[in-house]
Amino acid sequence: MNAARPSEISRFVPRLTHVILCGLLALVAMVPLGIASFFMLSSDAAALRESAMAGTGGHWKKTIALNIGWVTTGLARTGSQFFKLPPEPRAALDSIRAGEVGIYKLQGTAGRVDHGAVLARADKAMSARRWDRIVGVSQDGQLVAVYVPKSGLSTEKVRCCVLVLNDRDLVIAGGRANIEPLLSLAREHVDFREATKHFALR
Amino acid sequence: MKLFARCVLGMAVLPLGLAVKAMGDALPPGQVDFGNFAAPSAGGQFVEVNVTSSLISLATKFIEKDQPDIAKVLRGLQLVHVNVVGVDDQNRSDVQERIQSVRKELESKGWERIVKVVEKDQDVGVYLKSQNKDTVQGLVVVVLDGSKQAVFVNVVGDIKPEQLSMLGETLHIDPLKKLGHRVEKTEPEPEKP
Repeated sequence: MNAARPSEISRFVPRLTHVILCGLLALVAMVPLGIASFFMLSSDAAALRESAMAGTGGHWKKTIALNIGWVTTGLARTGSQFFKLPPEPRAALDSIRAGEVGIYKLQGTAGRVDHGAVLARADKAMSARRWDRIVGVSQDGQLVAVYVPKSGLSTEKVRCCVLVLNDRDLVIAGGRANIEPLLSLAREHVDFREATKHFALR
Repeated sequence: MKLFARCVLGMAVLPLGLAVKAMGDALPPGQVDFGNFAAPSAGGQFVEVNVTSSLISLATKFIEKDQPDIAKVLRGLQLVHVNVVGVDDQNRSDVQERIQSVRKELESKGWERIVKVVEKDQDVGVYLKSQNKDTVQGLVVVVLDGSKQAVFVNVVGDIKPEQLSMLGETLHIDPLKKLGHRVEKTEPEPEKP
């Protein structure tokens, strides 16, 4: 008898204030995530770290991990447009798209770290993610490995992940850049013929 | 009958598929697989550099304006692979065996040995793979510096031995640079009559 007719049922119509409110709430929710992301490595760098740690055994303690992503570098790039900068830092700022670094220390009294095992595990993990090792150097207790993606490398999109193991200290670093601004700066200022001569003298 | 036809078709297609896969997996004619060298656990020297075609093209872009002649050489390359392994009492025999097997493999696959130097502890071999007299497909340098280290270099593409040091300088590969200077000093083997 008292049932409301369909036309009488009040239908929720989103208004502009609702949309703004939802946007603000989403922003507030994203702030902790954004802050947390500053202290977490990307998935590729994290995979490299995990494989290196698994290859050594023992317990690793994080000293620091920092990750500056495309949002931060983009903001820095945009902000820097309002300031007059010399060409070198300007080119550097324009080039960097993301950067991350994690430093870890091996705890306890584990024996000497087997570089062969670390490299083998790291290669396997990175290869599964379609990364190639381009450099591997092991000497005097130090291990350095540099990885780049198997495909998709260009001057506009350079990516790399680096592993440095110095006795009991592990450093994982990664970066993404567009090196075109640096390239054009180098073309303007560096005489490559002279530079090559100096490289030869090293 | 239909089942029989399918079986026949499957038997015909399977070897074809396997052959196509094998062709896809095969290395380019100028590339040599030296095998895996494990980084020594006892702290010996180990260097591995693997410059792929995408990195070579990146390096080419850096220099193409100022050094077009070097850029032209780089454009003809597909891969630069360098292995430096420290030799000690533990791995000396293994490394020597590896060098022998690499040399045998190269000779069996039609690589031409253009330089051979055996002097004191040093044993240097330079091999070239060419399609015809003008096109080099690959270059391999194998060095055993008896008391110190073994060096394996494979450059895939059109390269001459005397361009090795230039390549090392351009790509900043120190062992390749040193090796290039060493190869330049050595005389090529006299041609057989």
